[in-house]
Amino acid sequence: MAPDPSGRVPQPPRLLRLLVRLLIRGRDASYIVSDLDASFARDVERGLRGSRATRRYAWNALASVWSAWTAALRGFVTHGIGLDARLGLRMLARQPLITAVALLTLGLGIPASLTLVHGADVLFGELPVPDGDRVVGIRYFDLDDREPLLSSVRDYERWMELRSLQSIGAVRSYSVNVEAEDAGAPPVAAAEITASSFEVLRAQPLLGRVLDAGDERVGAPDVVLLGEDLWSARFARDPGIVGRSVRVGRTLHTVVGVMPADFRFPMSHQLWIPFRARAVDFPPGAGPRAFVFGRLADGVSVEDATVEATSLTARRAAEDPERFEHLVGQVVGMPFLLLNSDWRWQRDLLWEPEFVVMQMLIFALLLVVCGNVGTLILARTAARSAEIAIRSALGASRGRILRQLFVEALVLAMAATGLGLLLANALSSRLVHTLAGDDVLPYWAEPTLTPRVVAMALGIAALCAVVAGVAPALSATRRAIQANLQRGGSRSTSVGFGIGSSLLIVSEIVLSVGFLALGVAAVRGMLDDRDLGFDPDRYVVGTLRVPESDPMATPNATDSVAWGARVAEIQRELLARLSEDPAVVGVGMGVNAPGLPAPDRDVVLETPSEGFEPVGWAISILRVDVSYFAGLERPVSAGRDFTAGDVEGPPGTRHTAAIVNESFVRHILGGRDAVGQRFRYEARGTGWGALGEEEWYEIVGVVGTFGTNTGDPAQDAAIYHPLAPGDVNPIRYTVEVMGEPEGFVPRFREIAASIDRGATADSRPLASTMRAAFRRDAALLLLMLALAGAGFLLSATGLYAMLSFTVSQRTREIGIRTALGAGASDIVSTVARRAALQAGTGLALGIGLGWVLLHTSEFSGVSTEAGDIALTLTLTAAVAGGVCLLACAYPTLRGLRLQPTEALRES
Amino acid sequence: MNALGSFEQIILFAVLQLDGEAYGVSIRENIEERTGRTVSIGAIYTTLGRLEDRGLVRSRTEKPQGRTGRPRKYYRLSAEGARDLRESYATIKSMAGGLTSELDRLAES
Repeated sequence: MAPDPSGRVPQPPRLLRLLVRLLIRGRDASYIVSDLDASFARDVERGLRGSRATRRYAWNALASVWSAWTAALRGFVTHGIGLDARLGLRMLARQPLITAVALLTLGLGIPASLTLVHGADVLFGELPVPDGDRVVGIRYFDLDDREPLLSSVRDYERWMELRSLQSIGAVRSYSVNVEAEDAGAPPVAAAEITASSFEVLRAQPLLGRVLDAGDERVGAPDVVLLGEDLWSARFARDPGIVGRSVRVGRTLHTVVGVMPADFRFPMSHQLWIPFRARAVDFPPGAGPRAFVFGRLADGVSVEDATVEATSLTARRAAEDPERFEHLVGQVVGMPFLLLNSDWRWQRDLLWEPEFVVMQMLIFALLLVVCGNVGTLILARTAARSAEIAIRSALGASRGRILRQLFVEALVLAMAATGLGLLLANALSSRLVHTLAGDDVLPYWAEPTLTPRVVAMALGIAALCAVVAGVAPALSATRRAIQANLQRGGSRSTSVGFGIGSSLLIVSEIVLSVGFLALGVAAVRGMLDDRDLGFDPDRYVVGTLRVPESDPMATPNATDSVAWGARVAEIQRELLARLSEDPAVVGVGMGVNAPGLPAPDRDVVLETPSEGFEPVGWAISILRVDVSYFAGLERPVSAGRDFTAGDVEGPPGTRHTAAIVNESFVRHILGGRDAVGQRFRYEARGTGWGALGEEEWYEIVGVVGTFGTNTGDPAQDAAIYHPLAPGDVNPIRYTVEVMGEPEGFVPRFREIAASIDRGATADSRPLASTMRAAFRRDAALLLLMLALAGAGFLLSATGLYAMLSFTVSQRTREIGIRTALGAGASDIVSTVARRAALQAGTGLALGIGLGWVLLHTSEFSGVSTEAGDIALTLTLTAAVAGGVCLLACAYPTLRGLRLQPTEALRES
Repeated sequence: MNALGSFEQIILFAVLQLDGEAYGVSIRENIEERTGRTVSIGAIYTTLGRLEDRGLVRSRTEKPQGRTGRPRKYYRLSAEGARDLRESYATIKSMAGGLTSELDRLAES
């Protein structure tokens, strides 16, 4: 491209030039574009070849675009948003009360609104193993019962045919006694695991080796792999542990290795032994059940594996239609397999309609909270009308002012979210453990903040800033500048609290008073020292589990009759030994223990009580040994106690005798004579196979009310069914002891261990077990109380802001009225009429909501008895009314104290 | 005194040397000739814009001459700009005093 002999200036390529014109913006854009062309022309004049000159032009242009854009961004941050953010921070510091309330509310509300998502992230995340997203669970799902099934040994061997998996493993949980100096040491969570599992999980030992295929052979020496925590707790980190013999269950095992503390697969396990069960030893469908999982082969997707699992299931259905026709093969995320969840992947869970509805409700509540923060900001913005008007007059566009007010709200929301997230991170671990109660969290669930939750919280904070910042800003900038400038000098503004903010204040009072009622009920429940019919501080509750077969014994089909007899013998023996113990006052055996939650069902009476519909009552159903009442010294008050004859017959025989408690007689039978009455269960329920829905049961006796449904004494009716030793395994023992129950806890385990070393026994004081059982509800209630309290504080502050605003707006009017002789009542009516109307409406509707919530509440510790509800609502109304009154009092008093001369001079 | 970055110093020296004839293309060529460094027109204008905001340079625009002429924006050093440049240069000079041979030795070792 030589210089044009005609004298025309050489031009760079058109497309590049067009791009440069489009991309370079800003005050010197035209000079940059022009000089880029001139540089190109000079290069050509200097004799540079066309392609070289074009390359130089392209580089120059690109570098210029980059410089112009970075300069524009820097300017925007330092002079635009940055300036607004600094102004925002200054405004926050100048109004500490409003700032504190808004920070508190948004700081609690925004992180709390993400609790569900956080829970899903924590519980259903990936396993912490190399390439954890490639490890998947394989299982059958029963389409008839809508529930996932564990795989049998035969299923596991068939799953091995899947070519989509490069390796496959199986694991099965149980608990076992492990050698300890103290015979009362609690049992350990153990797992039978295939050697291949360690390959699937790519797990490496801390000491020694993992299990290998040789360990799984029948007749191979008994070996065990220990967890680091167990190695520390029971073996004092003995460096020579590998090769040592340790008693596990009934037999001695050689330790082959120690796994690091962060490996607790599948849930929170500390001991692993080889999985030796083989399909050949069991009839089809029988044998132990296990979780089966595998690592996807390279290049295979989850969808490919699902297709293969489905076709394998179809083949099995052709072989055995009865068992497989209603089953479907599933490939699922590992947490979903191990937690036996109906869902398959986290995305299914997050789009589950119930989950979405719950999340939307939470966001709706958050929206109300944001709206109220908006009311506060509106009051603050109103006070700045003059400033806004002056800025407008000096040339600031409406958009510029909107941006400033939005950025101020954004600063507030971001600061609140940041503080809230920090607090949540510090507390979430404790909170999750409290909510999970005694159920140990799976080892992969680390309740720290996840990137998704942080990103969502920041996004929600930005949305909150739009709701709380832009709406008031639109209102503040709507009016004519002139009008605001004129009013500016008189401290009065055109900004007002419209119907929107009134609705917000009222709705927030309604919601917060409603939830406050629940909170008040919970606090009353905690303070109330109710008569439970017994003293939990005198009891120990122990659970005895006799392992189906010793996992290390040669696997074989279990002789169920002999095994049932053995279980019965051990259970009976423990009952006898406990009752002989000098520290024991009384002992009872059963599925349930007093004071602990029990399933409930609706019953149908053969002869219905007049005018009484028992459906809807939470009637506790308990199963106890025939000696339960005698053993715990709870004699029947009518009829007779259970006898051995009530449970006669081979295993599986239906026993029709039942004993009810006095509350059942009072509430369900309407005080009639219970003995001889017959009832059956509603055809709905908890899938309790032992109690047929079509069968009639006969009441043979009545006992005193004894620790049933302690969470709600209004619903403590109960039915007891008899069971024979061996019917149920594991089983609970309720032991009344002399002295401190804590002291008897290891004794219980010692006695159990002396009867059968293989049987595992766990024991705790009943009072602490009860507290743990109800702790989840208590924690949820406290959380709700905290949110309701924050919401209530916010609505009270909203009232306060509105009233203060009214007084400052109407100072002149109040002055004139006072000068013309208006009395105090007129002034109060002028100032507080609207606030009183809002507070009154909110309180009335809120109490109504509280009534509904209390009636439908299923939280333990919240009484649903009519008298209790009335008292709770009265207390709530008093507390809420008092706070509203306080919020209104100060601005109203300020209005009353206005001196006419001062008011007129000021205005 | 305003602290000056190294690129700002280079630009100000180029403006000083071009003595009233400093605009994008001439500054770019001046820097290329004297330092061997290729800089973009955009970087020159954004830096000059910043220096102008700080009062270190002043600008005047000239309308295009003739049909194919282009608009130009010429820059000149202000008194404040001259003071800041002098200070910056003096600082570097005094810090470098007696060290150049050592610097050469180290750089070439």
